[in-house]
Amino acid sequence: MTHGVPPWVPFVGVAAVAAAVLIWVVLRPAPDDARRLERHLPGEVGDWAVEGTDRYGRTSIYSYIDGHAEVYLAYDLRWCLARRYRGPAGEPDLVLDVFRFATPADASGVLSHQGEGERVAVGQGGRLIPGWLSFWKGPFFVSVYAEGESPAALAAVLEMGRAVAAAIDETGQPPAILAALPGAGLDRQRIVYLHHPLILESHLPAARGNPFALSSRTPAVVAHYERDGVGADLVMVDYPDPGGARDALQRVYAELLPDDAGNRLRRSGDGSWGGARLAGRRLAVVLGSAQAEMAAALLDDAAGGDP
Amino acid sequence: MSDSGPGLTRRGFLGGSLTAVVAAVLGRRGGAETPARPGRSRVVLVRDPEVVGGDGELSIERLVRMLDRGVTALVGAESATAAWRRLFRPDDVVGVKSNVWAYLRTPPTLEGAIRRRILGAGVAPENVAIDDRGVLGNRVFKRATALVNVRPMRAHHWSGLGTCLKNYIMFVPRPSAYHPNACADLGALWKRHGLAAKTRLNILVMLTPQFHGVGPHGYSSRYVWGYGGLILGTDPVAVDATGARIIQAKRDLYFGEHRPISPPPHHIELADTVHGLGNSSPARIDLIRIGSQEGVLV
Repeated sequence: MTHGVPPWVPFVGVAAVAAAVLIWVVLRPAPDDARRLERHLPGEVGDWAVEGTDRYGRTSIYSYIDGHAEVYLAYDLRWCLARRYRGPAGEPDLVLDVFRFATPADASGVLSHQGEGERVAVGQGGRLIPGWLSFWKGPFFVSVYAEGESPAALAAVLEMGRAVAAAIDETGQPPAILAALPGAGLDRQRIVYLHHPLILESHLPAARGNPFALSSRTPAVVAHYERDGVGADLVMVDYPDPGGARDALQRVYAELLPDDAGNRLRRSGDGSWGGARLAGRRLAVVLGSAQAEMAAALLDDAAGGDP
Repeated sequence: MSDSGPGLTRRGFLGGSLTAVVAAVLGRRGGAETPARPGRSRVVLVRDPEVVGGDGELSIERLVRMLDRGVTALVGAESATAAWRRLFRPDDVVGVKSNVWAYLRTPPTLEGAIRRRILGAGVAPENVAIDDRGVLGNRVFKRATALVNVRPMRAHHWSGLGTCLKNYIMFVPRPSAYHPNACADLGALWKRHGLAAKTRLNILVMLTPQFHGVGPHGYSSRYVWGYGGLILGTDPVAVDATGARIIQAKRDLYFGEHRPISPPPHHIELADTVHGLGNSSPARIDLIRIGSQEGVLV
C-alpha cells in the first residue's frame, strides 16, 4: 500500500486558489478614490433621489455599456461608478455615470470623441443636448442622462452636473498636443484627442489597420479644417522618439499616401491631396484635401516645433 | 390584405423571389453549407402604427397579427399556419437569437409569439430556445438545425447600425474582434460559422427604431420613434438594407439635412459585395409592403 499524496490533492489546491481569487474579484473594496467621490455625490437633486449605486472595473464594464466599452478602455478606463436617481411620478429617471481615467487627458479625450452638444458652463468642456449632459474634470468623465425629456428633468440634469462637478476637487490640463494645432480654419467641434487606433479609425476610416502605429505611448489628435470651402483632416502624433516617428511616416506613405506628386505633396488612393512632415518626434499628416494648395498650406502651418 | 409596392404585383412574386425564398428554406434543411446568394431577395415590411400605444405598451394582438401576416407573405403561403410549417419541421431544433440590450430589446411578447408559432409547426418544446448573450453555451443552440434572428434596429457606435447581420456577433467568443473598420466583416462571421445555412428567418424589429445614438449608453429617447414595423426576410442583407434606408430617411427628415449614418453601416453592402451573403441593392430586392403606408419612408 502506498502512502504518497493522493492524486486529487493538487486539484483541490488549485480549486481553492481559484475560489479565493473569484471571491476577491467579487467582494474587493472599491478603489479609495471611488469611495471618496461616492461620499460626496448628491443623494438627491430636486425631486430625484438616488436609488442605487453600481461600480464597474475594466472587465465588468462590458456588462454595463454594451458595445461602447471599448471606447472607454481605449482611453485607459480605471473604473466607473453608476447611479440611478428615481424621479417623481411621471418624470424620467436620471442616470449618472462617472468614469475615472488614468489621466485628465484621457477624460478630455472621451468627451472629444463623443463630440456632440452645445457648450455649457459645467465642469470642464461641458456639453449638452436635451436630456444628456457630459463634461470632464480632472481624470473624470461625467455623463448625466435623463431617460425621457421634460423641463423638470432637464433642469435636474444640469443641477446634477453642477453638483458632481463640485464634488470633484481636481481639474486637469487639456492634452498638450492640442496646443500645436494651427488655428486657421480649425473646426473646433471636430478635434479629437486619442491614442488608440480604434478611435482614430472611427473618425478617419482610411486609417484602418493602425498605419500611425498608435499606442498608449503616442498621444495624438485628429482635427478637421475648412479653408475657403475646402476641407481636410490633420493628424498629429507625438512618438517616444524620432525613430518611431520616422517609421510611422514610411508606413503612412505606403498605406495612405502612396503617390508621390512632387512639390512635397502626395495623393491618396481616392485622388485627394495630402502630405506629411516630421519635426523631431512629432509627425503631422494632412489627408483628404480636394486642393493641393490647401493641403500644402495646412501642412506648413502644422509643421511646428519639436515637442 | 397585402398591398404590394409600386410596380410590383402579387402574381409577379410567384416567379422570382418567392422561388428564392422557398429554395432558401428548403435548401438550408439539407446541410450546413452557406447558400448561394439569391438572384433576387424577397423582403416583407409589415406596419401597424397602432401596435405601439401612447404609453409605449405593445398590443400583443396586433403584434402577433403583424408577425403572421409578414411570414405568410414572405413564404407565399395560404395561411400563417402553413407558412410556419414551411419554415420549420417537427424534427428541427430551433434557436431564436434575440437581443436584450437594455434600452431597446427584442420585445418579450414578440419572442413569445415566435416561440408559439415554432411549437405550432410541430417542434418539440425542449427543442426551442431563445437566447442572446448565452448562445455559445446554450445546449439547444449548440445542436440547432435552424435559427431565427430577431432584433430591433438601432444606431450603433461601431457598426453604424445594429442590424440582423450584427446580431450574430454573439456567436463568437470575442465579439470585439469584429469591430474594426466599422464591423466590415460581419458577413464573414455568418459564413465561417455556418450561421447563414441555418437561418430560416430574419426579423428586423422596427416598432420603435433608434436612428441616432449619443452618450455612454448610445441611447436617447429623443432619437426613437413609433414606426410600428417589422421587416422580415430569409436574406439578412436585404432585410438590413431595407431597414437602413428607412433609418437614413428618418435622419434626413429629423435633422433637416442629409445626415449620413455614422459610422457608415457598410457591413451591409460588404456582406453582399465581398461575402456574397445576400442582396443589398434595392434593385435586387422585391419589397412587399403590408399595412399602413403613412410615414413609411421607403
